[in-house]
Amino acid sequence: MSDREQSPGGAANPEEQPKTEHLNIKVTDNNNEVFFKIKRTTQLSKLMNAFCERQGKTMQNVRFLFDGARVNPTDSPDSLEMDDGDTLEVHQEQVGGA
Amino acid sequence: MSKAFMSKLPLPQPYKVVSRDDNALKTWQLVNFWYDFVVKEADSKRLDRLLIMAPHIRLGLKYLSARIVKEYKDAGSPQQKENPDLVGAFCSVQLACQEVQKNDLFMRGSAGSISSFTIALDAAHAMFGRLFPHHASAFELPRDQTVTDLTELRVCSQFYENLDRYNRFARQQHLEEHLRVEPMLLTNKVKRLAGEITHLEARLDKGRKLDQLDDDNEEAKPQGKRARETAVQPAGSAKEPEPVRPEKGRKQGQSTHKRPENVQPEQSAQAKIAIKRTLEFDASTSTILKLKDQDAKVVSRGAGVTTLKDFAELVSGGWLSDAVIDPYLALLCEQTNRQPGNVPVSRGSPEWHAWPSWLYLKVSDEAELPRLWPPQGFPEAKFAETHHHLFPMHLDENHWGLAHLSWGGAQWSLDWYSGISGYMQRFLDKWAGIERYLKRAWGFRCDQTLTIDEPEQPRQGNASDCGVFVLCEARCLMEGWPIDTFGQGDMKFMRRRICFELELDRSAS
Repeated sequence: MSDREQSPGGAANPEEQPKTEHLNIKVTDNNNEVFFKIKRTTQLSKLMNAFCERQGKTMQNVRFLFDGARVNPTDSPDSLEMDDGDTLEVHQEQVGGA
Repeated sequence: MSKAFMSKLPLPQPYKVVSRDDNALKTWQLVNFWYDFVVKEADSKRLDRLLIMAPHIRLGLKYLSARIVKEYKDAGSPQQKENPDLVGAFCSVQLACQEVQKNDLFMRGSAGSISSFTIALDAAHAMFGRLFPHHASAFELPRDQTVTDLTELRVCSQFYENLDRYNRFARQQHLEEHLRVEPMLLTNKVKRLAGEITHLEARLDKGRKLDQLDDDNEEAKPQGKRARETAVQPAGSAKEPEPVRPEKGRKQGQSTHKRPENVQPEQSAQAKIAIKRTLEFDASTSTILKLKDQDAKVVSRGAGVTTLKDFAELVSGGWLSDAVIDPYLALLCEQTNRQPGNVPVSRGSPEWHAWPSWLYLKVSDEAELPRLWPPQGFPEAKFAETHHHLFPMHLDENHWGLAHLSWGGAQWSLDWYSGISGYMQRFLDKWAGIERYLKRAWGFRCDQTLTIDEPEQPRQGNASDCGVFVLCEARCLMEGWPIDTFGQGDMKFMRRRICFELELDRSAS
C-alpha cells in the first residue's frame, strides 16, 4: 500500500515496473522459514507440498494463510495478488471436541 | 424440545443436476445417505422426526428422479446391466419408495403423499429401463420371459412389489386414476416372480452342493473358478439377442443338470456382489468416505478446503476441525445475510459475520490482516454496522467454543457459548488479543466496558461434540431461536445435516 503512495507517477505510467515473472515467497511456521522462488502462475499446491515434505508434515494437518485468509492449493500468486517477498504463514489444523 | 428444533430447520436447497461426469455416484450416495438416516430414525421409533423428514425425502426424490432421467434415460450405451452401482442405486430407489410410503401412511391424507410415491416410482422406472433394456417398459408388464439371472429377478420382483404397494395405496386413498397397471395382472406378476426366485434359489443351492463335490473330487478351486468364468461368457452373450431363448435354457436346465450348474454359481456370485453392494449403499455413510482417497477436496468455500477426512470425522462422531467449522459458519452467515428483510444490504454491511477460527493466532503480533475485512461481497462494509460478529474459538488445542459479539442498540455485548462450562477464563485470555486487534485495525469501539456473559445454554454429554455445539449455537443465534432449542440428543442428526448442507453447497457452487 505504502509503495503506491510513494510513487505518484505510477498512475501516469502504470507499466513502469513490469511484474517480474518469478517471485520469492517466504513460508514460515514461526519456527522454520523456507524461501521459494516460483512463477506467478504456478499453483501454490506445489509450494505447499514441498514445504510439508521438507518439514515432515502432512498437507491435511496444516493450514496455509496469506494476509490472514486461508489459501487454497489451487490458488496462484497471481490469483492472490502476491508481491515479491510476501509471506505464507503455516499453522496446525485445529481440532476440538472435549 | 428437539422436535421443535428439527421443524425449524429450513429445508436443504434443491439438488442441482450437474454435468454427467460430476461423479453421479456421489450424488447417489448422498441421497442414499439421507434415506439411510430416515430409515434409522424410523427404526428408532422416532416418528416425530420421520414426519419432519418427509418433505426432505420428497424433495430429495424429486431431484433424484430428475437426475436419474438425465443420467440414464437419455444416456447412450445399454451396457449398464453389469454395473453393480446401478443395481445398488436402483435398489435404493426401491427402498425410497417404501420409505415414502411408510412416511405417508403416518401422515395420512397429506396432499403430497401420492405424488411423492409417483415420483419415486418414476425414478425407479427410469432406472428399470436402463437396467433391463429388453423389458420394453416396466409399466406395460413385458411379455412373459424367464430370466436366469437372480439379481435381475430380485430387482424386478422388488419393483413389482412396490408397484403393487403403490396400487393398494392409491386405492386406499381413493385415487383410482393413479393406478399404474391393471392390479390383477400385477399381483399375478409379483407372485410369479416370487415363485421364480424361490425356484432359482433352490437350484442354485443344489448347484452349489454339486459344485463342492466337484471341487473335492477333481480340481483345485481356482482352476474350477476360471473354467466357470469362461463357460459363462458364451452362454451370456447367446442369451441376450433373443429373449425367447432363455425359456428353452430353463427347460434344459430342469432336465439336464450339467450345463446350467456350471453357469449359475458364477451368477450367484454376481448376485451376491450386487446384494452386498446394495447393503453397502444402504450403509452409505461409511461408503462415501471409503470410496475416495482421504485427501480429496470436497468443499471449497472461500479459501477453505474441507477434505473427506474432515467429513469422516464429522459424520462418524469424531472431533471437528477448523475445515468444517469455518466453512459452515461462513455458509450460515451467507444464508442468513441473504434472507430478505434480514439485511439492509443497501447499507453495505452484512448483518452477520463469522471470523476465521485462527484469528486469535494471528492477532498477537498486532499486525493488520487486510483480507479479513470487509467480508466477501461487502466491499463497503463497516465493522460497526455489522451487528453480529461470531468468533469460533479453539481453546487448549482440544475444545471449540463460540463468542458472539453483538450490538444491542446502545452498546456491544459479548456472549460466550461452550458445550462445556469452565472455559470462560481461557476464552477471556484469548479475547483480550482479539479485542485489541479489532480496536486497532477496524475501529471497534466500546465506550463503556464490554458486557461479557455466559448465558444459560445446553451442555454436551460427552467429549466429542463441542464443535457441533458451536455450529448449532450459531444457527440458533442467527435464526433468533432460544439457545436451548437443541440438545445433546440432536447431535447425530446435526452431524449429518451439516455434512449434507456443506455438500449441497459444494454441488451448487
